[in-house]
This record gives sequence, structure tokens and C-alpha cells, in this order.
Amino acid sequence: MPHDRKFRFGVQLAGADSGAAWREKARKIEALGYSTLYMPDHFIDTELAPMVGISMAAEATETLRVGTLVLGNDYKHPAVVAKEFATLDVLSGGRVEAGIGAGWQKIDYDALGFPYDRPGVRIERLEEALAILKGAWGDQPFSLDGKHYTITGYDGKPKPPQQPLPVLVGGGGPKLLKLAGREADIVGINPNLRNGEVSADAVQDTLAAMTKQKIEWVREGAGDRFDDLELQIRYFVCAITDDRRKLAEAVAGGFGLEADEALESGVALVGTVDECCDLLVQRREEWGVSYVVVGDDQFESFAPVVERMAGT
Amino acid sequence: MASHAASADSYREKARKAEDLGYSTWFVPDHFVDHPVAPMPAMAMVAEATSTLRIGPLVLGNDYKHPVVLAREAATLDLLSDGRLELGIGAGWMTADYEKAGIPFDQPSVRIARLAESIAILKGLMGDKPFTFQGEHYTITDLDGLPKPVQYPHPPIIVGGGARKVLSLGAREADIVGINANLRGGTATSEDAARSITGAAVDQKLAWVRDAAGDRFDDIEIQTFVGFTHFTDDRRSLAEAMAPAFGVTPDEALEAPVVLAGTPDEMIDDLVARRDRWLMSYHVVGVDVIEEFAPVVAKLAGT
Repeated sequence: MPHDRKFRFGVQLAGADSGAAWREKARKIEALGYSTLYMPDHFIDTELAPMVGISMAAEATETLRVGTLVLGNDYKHPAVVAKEFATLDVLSGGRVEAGIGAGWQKIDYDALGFPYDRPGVRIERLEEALAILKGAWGDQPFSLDGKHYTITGYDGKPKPPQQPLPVLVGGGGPKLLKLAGREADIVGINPNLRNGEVSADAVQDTLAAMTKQKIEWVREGAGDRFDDLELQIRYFVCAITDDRRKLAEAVAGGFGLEADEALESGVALVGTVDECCDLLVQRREEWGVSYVVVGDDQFESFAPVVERMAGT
Repeated sequence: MASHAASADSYREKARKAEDLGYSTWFVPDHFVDHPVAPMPAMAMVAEATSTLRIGPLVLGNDYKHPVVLAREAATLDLLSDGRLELGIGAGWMTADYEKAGIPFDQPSVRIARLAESIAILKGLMGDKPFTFQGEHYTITDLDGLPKPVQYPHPPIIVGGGARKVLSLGAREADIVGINANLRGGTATSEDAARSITGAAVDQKLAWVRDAAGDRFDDIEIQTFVGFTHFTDDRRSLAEAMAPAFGVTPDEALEAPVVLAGTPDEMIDDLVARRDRWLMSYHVVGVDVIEEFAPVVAKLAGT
């Protein structure tokens, strides 16, 4: 079914210092009209474990959706992940978005002592993992004789109440975005992080022309189902300000960009509430992107945008 | 021990009921195949739905997740639940889990060696300083595990098992040792398993724990999972009817710490006797019987 492209908003959060602070944050996000609370998946810095964090957030709220943005596929076996998402979907009354990517941050692999395979291999594993997730959530016992995983007659339990449980795949390169186009329900358009860290290369990759190119890759992978997909951007540079140019000049240089380039970057959302709303409408028309994600430090300042645009 | 989740509401209500009835801890098993919940989301939800009930996996299969992943999940759960986690972990035993998921099922000594390394890593990552570990199975290089748990130095670790090797490991490293049947057959129903949990067999297991624990034996809490509970006024007839199927005598069946059969008063007497004989003070029952069993909890908990 074609997606309605109505706006919805998410917040990506790394965690909180206590259960009480976490609960309060989740409830505030829900009250401000956001659709979804997301957690990233990294082993360095103070990030909490996403599966635990989103489970607690789901229980602390009533209607807020919860998801991972995104799990690194290599960190857990997909049969384990399938069961965790399905359990949470049951226990949250169908509020889960299963976000997963190929894994990119080299230091995470180092932390785990895992080999950091080349992107093609990681993406191949992700492709098999997606088949396992869907297979485990389906009606029938599932088998896969893959190159990386072997699953034999696995009748995953529980079955998620959402049929299908939405799968979110995020990435930045052609191979991954084509895979996302073929297999995901929600596609996250991200910087290409092929260097294994956030570098100047990744910043250049967020420019408007590249964003357009990425959406073409998704379209290529999706074929007929492109209209059914929901497209998402996580806005890493995001601020409500009366003087967008001044802010752009202040930050652009640090990334090796011109101010105009920075403002048009596919991960920048900067301006007054009106300007941000206009930009979102324009990008929805041009790119089809209707799912907007901001970070922990911006979700309160963006509340007026959410209030005006969510569901429209 | 709760493994069912028909719906979120019923699961939440059961957990709150357990808290109200005076149970200490809500345990969740960790299997792909028969059990319809995954422990991490289930424990997180129960912690958030209750206020004092402790939560724990009984037990995590070590081979299903890398210890760095596990350490972060466990510490997150302990942090967000304000220090209510008990971290049960075992070597993994259910062959069906391994077969279905395509995880190699190594011989017991290899699985136990991996478990030993995992426990060292869990403790190391929850410690104050960056941690380095060069094991046969895992390599950790200068990693500061985050977040840190609330319970210091780490949430209580439960190691359960039936054989000497894993019980000795538990005795050396765990805060709570679970004395179970031997499951080397790879399933929970073999006759072999029943014979391994008679009173005499438990005497032997406890001796292994004592030998391996040395000075720290007195600090260890001894736990068992009472997998068979039946309320009856005539436990003798029940034992006579059931025991032969398990290859044990009726007396052996009633004596086994994984069995509680009789009236609440008989159960209370049995539990006191088991503490006297085996120091077993931590008993886990199935979620189906929490209400019927509540008078026993009311009488004994905290005494």
C-alpha cells in the first residue's frame, strides 16, 4: 500500500543517568507529540544498551513507538535479535520499529574483538539477517542455508502482533540503500560512513545532491514498492534560530563546507520554526522524506515544529 | 520463573502480583525454542512495571551473546532498574537452541571454559577501570565498560548447573550458585537428569561447591529451581504414581530439591529441612503457582 507521506517525528537518545530520568524523558517525548523514541547501538561512550532502554521506555509510556536507530547487525545473532524485537512488540502492544544496519563504527568492532570486514561482507550478512528476522516473525518454521548464518526449522516465538513488524534499514552507500529499498519498510538516508568513523568524507556525503542520489539508489532497489516505503532522515545539525546564515557560517567551516552547502545539507535543519517547516515540506516534495528524527539536545526546541507538522 | 506472555497486560499483572505476594525476584529463562519471551525486553518491562521486585535471567545462555554485549545490557538494566538485577548465566545446554540458530554446540568443557572467560569479562567491564583480557575465546583491549551498574561491584552473579565443573566455577566466581539437575542429555526430561537430583546426588553437588569455594563458601547463597510443585493432601500417593516415570523411588522424588509436593505446611517443613541440609535458602517456582504457593512465601520469606 502506498505510504501516505504524512510527517512524523522521532528522537534519537543515547540514554540517561537513572531510571527516573529515563522515564521522565520518554514521557516528555510522548507528550510533545513525537512518534518514536530511538536508541543507537554503540559500545564506546556512555550509551546504554538499546534493547533494554527502549523496553523500559515502552513500559513507561502509552502510545510512543520505540525502536533502534540502528542496531549493528554484527553485534548479536539475528535469531536472538528477532526474538527480542518480537517479545518487545508483544509487551509494548505493537509499538516497535526494528532498525538495523550493517555496522560501521570501527571502534565498536575493536571493543568486541570482532573482525571489521569490508562493507560488502557486512552488507551480505545484513541481507541474511533481514531474511532471518522476517522468517522468525512469520507463520512457518524458517530455514536459511546462508553464507554467514544457518537456520534450521526455527519457529520464532513469540510472533509479533504487528504484521509486518516494521523494519527500518539505514545507510549511506549504494549497495546498502538498494538492499534497504528491496527489504525495509522505513529507509534511513544517512551519511556514508565507509571510513569507520565520522570524518570529513562523511560530511561531504551529506550534501543535497548526494541525498538526491541516495534516494535514487533506494528507488532502484525498491522498484514497484518504492511508493510503499517511508523515508527518514536523522538531522544531525539541527537548530531553531532567527539567523540561520550566521549559525551556518559558524559551523560550516569546521566541516570544510560553504555556509550555503551546510544549510542545504541533507542532515541539516536550521532556521526559525517557519523556515524549518517550509524546508521539511520542500524536502518531502523533492525527496519524499516524511520521517524526521532529531537528537536528545534538540527535541524540546523542535517541539513547535512537531506540533505544527506531525500528522499533516 | 515466568516464561509465558500471552499479552502485555497479563505479563505486567503477574509481575505486580508476584511483587505484592512477597516474592523477591522475577526470573526469565533464555531459550529460542520453547519459551515465548526473550529475557532482556521482558526483564526491562517488569522492572519498569514494578518498584521493588528484583529481576533476573535464569539463566542466560552464554553462547548466545558476546560478553561485551551482555555486560552493557546487564549494566543498563541494573542502572535503569535502580539496582534490581541478578545476573544469572550458564554455559548453555539446550541442543535445540544451538541447532535452530546454527550456533556450534561445543563439548561441555569448551562451553564452560567460555563461560569462565565471560564471567571474568562481565566483572572486568563493570569495574572502575578500562579492562583488558586475553582469553582463548574472547579478546578485550583496554575497554571501559559503560554504563556502570548501580550495584557495586556488580549485580549478583548466579551460576547454575548440575555437573562438577560448572558448580566449581560457580563456587569460585558467583554470588549465588544454582544447584540443578544434570542436563548433559541436552533436554530437561531425561531419566539421567532425574537421577542427578536425588538427595544423595545433591549432597555430592554441595560438597563440590564447598570444595571449590574454599573461604568464600559462607558468602554464597544456594539456590534451586523447584520445577515441580503440586498441592495435595496425599503426597505419598502422588509420589508413588509419578516417581517410576523418572526412574527414582517415591522417597527420592519427595526429597529432591526440585520437587515440592504436599500441603503448604509440608512444603514449609521441606524447605526448612533443605536449608538445614544443603543451606539452600533461595527457591524459585514457576509463575503458574505463585498464588497457591504464596502462603509458603508469607511464612518463610526473610526468616
